[in-house]
Amino acid sequence: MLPRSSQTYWRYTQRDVTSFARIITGWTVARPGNRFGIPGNFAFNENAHEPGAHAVLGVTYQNNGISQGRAVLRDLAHHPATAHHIALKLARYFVTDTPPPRLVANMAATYTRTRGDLSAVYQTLIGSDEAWDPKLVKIRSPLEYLVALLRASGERPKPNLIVGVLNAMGQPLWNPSGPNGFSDTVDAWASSEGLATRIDVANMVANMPPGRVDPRRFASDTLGALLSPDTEHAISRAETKAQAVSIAFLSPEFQRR
Amino acid sequence: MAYNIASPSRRALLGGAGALFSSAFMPRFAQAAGGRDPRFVVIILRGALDGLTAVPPIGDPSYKELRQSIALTTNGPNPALKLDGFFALDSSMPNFARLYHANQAAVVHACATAYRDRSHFDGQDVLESGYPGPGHTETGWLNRLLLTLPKGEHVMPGAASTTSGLAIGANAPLVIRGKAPVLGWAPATLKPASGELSQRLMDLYSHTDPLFARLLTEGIATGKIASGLGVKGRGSPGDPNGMEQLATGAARLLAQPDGPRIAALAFEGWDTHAQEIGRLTRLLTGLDNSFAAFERELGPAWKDTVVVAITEFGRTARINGTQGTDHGTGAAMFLAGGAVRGGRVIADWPGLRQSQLRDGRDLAATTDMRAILKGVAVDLLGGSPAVLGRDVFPGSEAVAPMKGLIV
Repeated sequence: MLPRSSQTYWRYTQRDVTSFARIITGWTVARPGNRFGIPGNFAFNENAHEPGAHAVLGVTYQNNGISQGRAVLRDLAHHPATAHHIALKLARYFVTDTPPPRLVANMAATYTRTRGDLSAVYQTLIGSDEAWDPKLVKIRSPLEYLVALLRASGERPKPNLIVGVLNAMGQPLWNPSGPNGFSDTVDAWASSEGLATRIDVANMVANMPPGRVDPRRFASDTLGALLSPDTEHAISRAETKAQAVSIAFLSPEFQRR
Repeated sequence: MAYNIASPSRRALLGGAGALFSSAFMPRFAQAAGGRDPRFVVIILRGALDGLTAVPPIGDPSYKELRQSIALTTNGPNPALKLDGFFALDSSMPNFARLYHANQAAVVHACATAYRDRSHFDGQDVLESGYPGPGHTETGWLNRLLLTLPKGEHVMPGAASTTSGLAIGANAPLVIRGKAPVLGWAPATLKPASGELSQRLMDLYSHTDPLFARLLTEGIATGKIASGLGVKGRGSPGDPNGMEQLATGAARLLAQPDGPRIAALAFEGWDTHAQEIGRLTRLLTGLDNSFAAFERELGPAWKDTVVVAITEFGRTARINGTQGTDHGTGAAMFLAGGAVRGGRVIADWPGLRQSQLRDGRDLAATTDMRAILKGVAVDLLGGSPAVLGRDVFPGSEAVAPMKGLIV
């Protein structure tokens, strides 16, 4: 919940973490058979709440039940580090792994000015020149890649195959290994192991019957203006249709975004 | 498309990886040709086999000069097996040579489909669809042939109804796709990507994307990614062992009294733009062992069998700068089986002098592959020339079935 950042102007300590944990004691989830309402909903169990005032990031929060935790969340949401963190994540995901500091600062400023209106932050992102640079610098994550493969090919494999493929590619569905989620940087997915699996997956989808797609038309329709002469050449010279479709799926312009 | 996954017992029987597709609508052609119960197998060699290396015209005075370092010789470097005084055979095909000298195998040289351009896909579409031009990819000529043959007793009733759906990775060759129900088999696991594919990706990445080029290099160096000339994923249709496994599985099915009579397989990897001799040594070994596997496994049925191996087009007459050859025209096809009137190379040889080459670069085509395929369909399977010219190879009425191919 606390945004992590490498920025030196701001750090949190283990004390902040344990204080915040005390503040949100009593925050729970309604379960079947208990008295907190519809199962799955958020609930506040007053009896489980630890009384007392606690400090988080230098601010002391008096005990006033559920509102104590809400006050912390509100302050965290408005914290300049959060503005920076959200701006950086968005810019890193949509633009490049190391976005220009000016772009991140502009987005963070919008976040702060609008008190966290994400739509306004997106508009700042979209309004930047960097967002429109046609150079493909990001690599699609396994999930993005598989979705693109299936959309482009029109194949609709069974769900358990999709789940299996995502496991094999290292991005199990909705199940990242840590609370910070799946990485959105190129380095995280640019491994030879990952490429080996992608080759097998692309090859598998390319070999799914009926294989009646003309790979040349497919490439120009799917990759459009991104299709490089090298890729076009490699596709047209492939030995089989399935191999040509594999090459289209494995071309840099299809693996990147 | 109607095809079905083989039952577990058939899967076990077939054993190896890869994909075999055969007719599940298996009329016994008991009346077809002299009470014979024939078997007909079509092997598609995807990528354009170089007939001038597989069956080199060593007696042609221009051959050595055109092929230079990759020329085969009778008693020098790249020694070949003798067929007749003019043609030899690549030394990786001893089984085919043995069958040839036992009059159970023949070569058709300088042959082609109706296709005259240089795209593999279009060429394969023409080869497999049986139409004179590309763009017909719904049904293949072998499937349409099945529909037109005299209906006999269905030897495997219910084969088409016992299963449903398609296995992932299964891809029936176009040649046998169509309305006639077809039994299919394919591995349940990911089909291993071929080393050939990674070579092509390396070429692409090295021109376009240094990061992917580095990852691919690492993957190959650490053995995670199959690579190299002819080194394919184990058991794939581009790996010699995979070819032999496929052929063995197909032959065991075909050998059964209630088994299929017609089958199609596809072997890949024949696009030898570079390092042709080494690659073809491996690939032709796989093909040669496949012929031997059919002979061995079919047993008594071998005498009523024709196996043909066909490719979409030939390759350039002249060696290129990378010890290989490029897309050409005139090709070679193989026929093997006890029903083949063998021991001969069937060719109206066009010659290899510059003026004799098509466009100054390709072995010309003087025999229409459809004449051969129609000849087998008529004399082995009892097909009707009129129907063959209209429905099986549309627009080929003027291409007469070649006579005398079958014993």
